[in-house]
Amino acid sequence: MKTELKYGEGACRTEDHDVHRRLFLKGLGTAGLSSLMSWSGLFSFSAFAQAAKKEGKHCILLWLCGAPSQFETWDPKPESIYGGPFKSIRTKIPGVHFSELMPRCASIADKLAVVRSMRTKPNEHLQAIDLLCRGNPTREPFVRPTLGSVLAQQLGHLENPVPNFILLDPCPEGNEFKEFKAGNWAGWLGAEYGPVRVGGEYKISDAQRLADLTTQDAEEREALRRFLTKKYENDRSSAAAASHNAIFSRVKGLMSSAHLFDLDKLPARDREKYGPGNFGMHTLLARQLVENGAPFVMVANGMSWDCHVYQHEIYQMLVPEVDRIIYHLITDLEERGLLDKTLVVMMGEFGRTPWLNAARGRDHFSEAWSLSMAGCGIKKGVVVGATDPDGARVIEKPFNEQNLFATIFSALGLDPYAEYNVPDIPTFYRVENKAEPIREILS
Amino acid sequence: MLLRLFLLIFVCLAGVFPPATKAAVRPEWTGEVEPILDRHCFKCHGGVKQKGGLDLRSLETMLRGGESGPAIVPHESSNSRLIQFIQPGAEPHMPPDEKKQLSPGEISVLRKWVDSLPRPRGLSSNHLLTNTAWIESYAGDLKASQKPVWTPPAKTTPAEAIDGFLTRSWRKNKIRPAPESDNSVFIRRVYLDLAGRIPSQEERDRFLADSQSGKQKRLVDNLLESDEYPRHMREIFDVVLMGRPSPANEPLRSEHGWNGYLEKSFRENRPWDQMVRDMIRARGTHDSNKGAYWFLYEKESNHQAMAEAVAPLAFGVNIKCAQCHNHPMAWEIEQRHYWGMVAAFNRSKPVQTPSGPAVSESAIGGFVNFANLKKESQPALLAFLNGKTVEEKWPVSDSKEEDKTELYRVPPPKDEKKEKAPAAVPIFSRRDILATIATEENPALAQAMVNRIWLQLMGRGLVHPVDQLDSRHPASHPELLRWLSADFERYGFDVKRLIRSIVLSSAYQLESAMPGEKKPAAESFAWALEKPLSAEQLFRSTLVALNMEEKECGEFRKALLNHFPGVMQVSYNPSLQQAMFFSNSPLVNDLLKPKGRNTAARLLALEGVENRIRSGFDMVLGREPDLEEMAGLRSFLAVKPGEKGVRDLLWTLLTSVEFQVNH
Repeated sequence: MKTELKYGEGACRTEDHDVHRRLFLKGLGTAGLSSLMSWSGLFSFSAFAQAAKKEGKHCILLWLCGAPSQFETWDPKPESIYGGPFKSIRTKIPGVHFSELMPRCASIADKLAVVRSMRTKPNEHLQAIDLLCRGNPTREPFVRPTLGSVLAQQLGHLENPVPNFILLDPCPEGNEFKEFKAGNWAGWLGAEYGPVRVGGEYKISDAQRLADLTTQDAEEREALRRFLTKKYENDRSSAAAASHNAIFSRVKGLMSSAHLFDLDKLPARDREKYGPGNFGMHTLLARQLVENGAPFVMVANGMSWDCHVYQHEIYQMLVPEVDRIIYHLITDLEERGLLDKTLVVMMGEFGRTPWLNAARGRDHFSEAWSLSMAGCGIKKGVVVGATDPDGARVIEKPFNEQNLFATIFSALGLDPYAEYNVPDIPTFYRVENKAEPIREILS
Repeated sequence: MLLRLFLLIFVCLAGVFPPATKAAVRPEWTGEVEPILDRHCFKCHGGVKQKGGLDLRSLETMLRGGESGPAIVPHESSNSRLIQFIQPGAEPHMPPDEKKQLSPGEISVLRKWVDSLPRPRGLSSNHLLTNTAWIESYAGDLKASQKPVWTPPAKTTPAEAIDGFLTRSWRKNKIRPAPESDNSVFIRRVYLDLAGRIPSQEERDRFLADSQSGKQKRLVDNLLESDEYPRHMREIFDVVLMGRPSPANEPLRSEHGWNGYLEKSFRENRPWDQMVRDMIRARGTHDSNKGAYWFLYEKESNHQAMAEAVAPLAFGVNIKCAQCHNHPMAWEIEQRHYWGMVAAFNRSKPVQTPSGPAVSESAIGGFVNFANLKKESQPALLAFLNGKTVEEKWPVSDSKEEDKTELYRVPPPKDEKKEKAPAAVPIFSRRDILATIATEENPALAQAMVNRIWLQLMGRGLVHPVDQLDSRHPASHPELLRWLSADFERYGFDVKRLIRSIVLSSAYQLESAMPGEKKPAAESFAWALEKPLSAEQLFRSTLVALNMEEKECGEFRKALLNHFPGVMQVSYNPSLQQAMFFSNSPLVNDLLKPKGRNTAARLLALEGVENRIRSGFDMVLGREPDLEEMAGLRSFLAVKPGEKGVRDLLWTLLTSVEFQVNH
């Protein structure tokens, strides 16, 4: 026999709770919220992480924004008058040399694939960052989703507690990169495929549940918020409502994975290997996130590579650091059995000029530049493409951003020419013009 | 006279040459012709390069042609070199790149376009090919002959003009606009746009109950005269003009009178052209413009930053890309315009005077050169985007300029390190010159501000994004923009008048909802665009909704500014961090606890869940819940103890998109 209870005050008994909860859910169900029904269990973190470890694929983009010089990295020309003061060194690949500033990458060259014949058009940052992050020139007013957003959708899961697209970028500035960051990353795929941008103190703020709010309270009021906003969206065909719901729906997942962003929880040895610089620490964070199920992590740090001034002085500090970081990332991923499932892409938005300007810096150069990849779907220990002895033009197998993206999608087992299935926009393909992937580096 | 003769000949010719197809419709330049030329030709015959001296970016430059002569002969595609050279097998053949050939369809469009151009009056083909004097008037006549969408009669008010132009464009494009919204929508929208917050319950009830005619106009006038209007405009324009301040600069903007200058100017409705002059001249001589100097001062000696900040105001464009080369697309924006503006500021420097910081200006120096990507060097002359230039005598190389007292109205101190003297003002002042050029006989000044205010109130610029008033970005309603700008200028750049006109137009008052229908494009303005609230609007609206005092919520305000830094952004991009903040921040949680007479306390004091729900909706969203909402919320609250139920009810309402957006 039930005791009379006053609604709204005091304790409620379990039966009442369940009845009302069911009614409530039923009521909300009519507003079309399917994923609500499966709260418990699904967000059990370790269960998901286990599953992700077995099946998923990942991609880490080391975004060397500002454009690194190919001469001081993957395509040295010590004999040219433009080569600069640094020599080249032998690598694990017979006959292939890297800049002497990259000894560690040289020692793992047999795990890498280097493309020395990138040839793209834009040589200003904003257009080039846009092009190399989206893979195709813009056709206004349609915004093509960035690589991360596409991969978040393809490789990620809606209920993934770890965000499907993470941008690790501690630097709030970065000139044109800053402008790009303020733009629309997810394009026609919609706000839920935009990045979670973290950086700086490596932790995520506002990630702790409030002391006086139970998990159930939080979930129930989020369901209610969603119900009201979904109703608003349907009643008014509101675009703002759709974006709004998309971000709130990811709060829970981010909260349950917030501890992953705390680097203090990792062994000091790891932090020493990658750090102390920002880019290194964030690469370590990327490794950690991938290990725990993140499909796509982009690591950036302002535009440090854009050296229009004192090229050699600055690069002799920058390059050895990134050399060490790449070395540890690749070897750690391999050690953890993740390298075969993780595609690592290391690039900027173009390269740098062979000749120096009046301030002893190299300027922008999109006519011949290099990038490197490793991991999932990529052949080990290959170099494709070549530039002339001065590095002033491509003489063998030029590739552009479309070839690059075709390669990335193919390596991850995705159809590069799939058509986007988004209503109300013209026909777009993941890679346009059926551009060929760089077969020489696909395994 | 010329026009009539021209039209007469055109009409005669139309009779002489029976149309082969139905009424020869000229292919549109912007939509059809220019994109073809852009894809295949502009790279070498456009912005950065003009091979063979040929520029194909406009009718005039095509008529002038290059080293091989004119590119086109109007009405004679077979005699036009442009059309000849793009044929397969032509010698020479354009474009030279195999992969960039024009398709037969594209060649046909260009041919059709050339053939549709009227013959120049009374000139033989021979004459056309060897002479260029006729070109300017031909191009002008052609433009004038294009039928305007509508010519508003004299005495048309701006609100009538807005509705007139928009209605005609909907009719032409067969667009059915959203219905007009009712007063409850209007009052929330206009309070947010003019006062920067939602109306209180009392304000709303009073307005809705008012039965006297003309209440909308009265409300708008009251809001424009209130103290909240200048504060709201200052909050917006501080960010628009100067960007969000760094933590160090934030208090300085108040201390040094910048915020005060903006508020005073908006309160007293200072004409916009005067405000722009105040900011460029940066000489605070009267009470009315004392704080304006901060616009330049905060940039210290960064003359490029000054030029880049002034260009959007004076010319409506972002000129950052013109630092290193001519704008690759908008051909009228050249590198020398960028450096001309830098030169206008590079005699200026921040100084400390007995009456505080100021920006002095030297009478000498500032003669710099700039280089383009080809390393060709040019002197930075005073040349500006609207075509105006000012002569200056450049010093003979290697001679040192002498800084003489006679060159100044207010001379600099003899020893800067020892004395604090008033800021130096030269007799020939580059800043004053730029101020005049930017604000007199410069139509772009009015257009840029009209476009900006239009964005603020209508959710999207007539040219969008707003700082791209260049040849590559046509307005969605070019004649409306021109008309409003001319009107704005004629009435002394009166900002309040412009705002009043827009919010009292019918177009402003359309519904933002078009349920079930496929919405027309945003640039049709056929429905009210949703405008996400800025941090300041969110803050003040939360205070109203939760009935709390500003002084108790300082930390919350700071956090909102941190999480919502954008003001009138190009597109709505909410971030996950914003959602995390609302979900987990103790600052938000505290607002939802009952305290004094705040909304949480008021709701808690009410009996019955339904009353609490109704009151919550009323306070936060300004309306009644409908049946579905009431049912859902009733179940939700039924199992929650009082305080928690009220907390979560208010949280749900505050984080709804309906609250966080102006719709």
